[in-house]
Amino acid sequence: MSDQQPFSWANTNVPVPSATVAVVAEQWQALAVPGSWWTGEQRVGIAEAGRAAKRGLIAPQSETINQAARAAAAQVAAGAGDMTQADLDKYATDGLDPLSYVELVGIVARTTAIDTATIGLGAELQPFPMPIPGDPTRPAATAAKQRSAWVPTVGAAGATTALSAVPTEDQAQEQLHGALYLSYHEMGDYAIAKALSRPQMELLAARTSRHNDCYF
Amino acid sequence: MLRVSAQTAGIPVDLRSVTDRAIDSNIPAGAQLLDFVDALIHTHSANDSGTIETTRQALIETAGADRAARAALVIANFEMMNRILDATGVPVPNRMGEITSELGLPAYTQRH
Repeated sequence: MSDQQPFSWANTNVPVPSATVAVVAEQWQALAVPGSWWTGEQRVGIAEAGRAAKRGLIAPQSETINQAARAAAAQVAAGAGDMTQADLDKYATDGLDPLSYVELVGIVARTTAIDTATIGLGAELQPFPMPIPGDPTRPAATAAKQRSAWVPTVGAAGATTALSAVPTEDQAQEQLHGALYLSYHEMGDYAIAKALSRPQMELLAARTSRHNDCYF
Repeated sequence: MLRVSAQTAGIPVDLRSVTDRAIDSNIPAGAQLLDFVDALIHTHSANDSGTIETTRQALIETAGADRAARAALVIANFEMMNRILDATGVPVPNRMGEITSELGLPAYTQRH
């Protein structure tokens, strides 16, 4: 399942800013650290299930996560554009509570992003890090409430609050968003350039969303 | 954001180029960028990467290696964001209803 190889984007023929590599490497290792609602071993199991579904690989028969989590990870990775509220209701009935689901979405989405970047840069998919033992933190209270999304959010539901019911996932999303594309603050600057011009970045964004049947 | 950023840059972007590859986006290296997206989204690993290598090399030759690297990162970001938004059921803003027809897409129906 895992080994101790450090994260590396070596052997690519395109240059990646060192600050971006540092953020991605840190986030990759964090996949294996106990989260708010899942152990490190379970988080890696979720990431593996998502990668297998997205990349057409044989899913590992890990006992670390139950069938509902395995099915949700696969659907988020490979069929999120077709999801409905009924899918979440089914997962909840099968024992996947909303906050655990939010953390699962963050794990799968970031794994998919890092795998996609890895392939795009011409590197090999990274082995998952070795899980760190320990219990989830299970925060006692959250300010999140059920609003207009399928999951609870802190404040109005939107692109920057979708994972806000689990603050560690919300922060990881924001950090990776800034490293790969633009920080939330930078998004207000339509003339910004980071190697690519802003229209070039937005053309890529729009086409990617088209492939994923995502209307944002 | 594509439309606003193109307007800011003085580029007469044709939004239909996002959905119809026969239409020129008018954005520099637009064709190579779109070829790279199309290849990367459908590439499962570095081992089945014939098309991704070809499109990456074409992008490097047209725009440079640093832009090709950033392109991979931006695509990766939206692979993340699309999944987060779709899997959490965040409602699509009303303004997107106006843009879907410009993109040549069917009208969006809320999935809630």
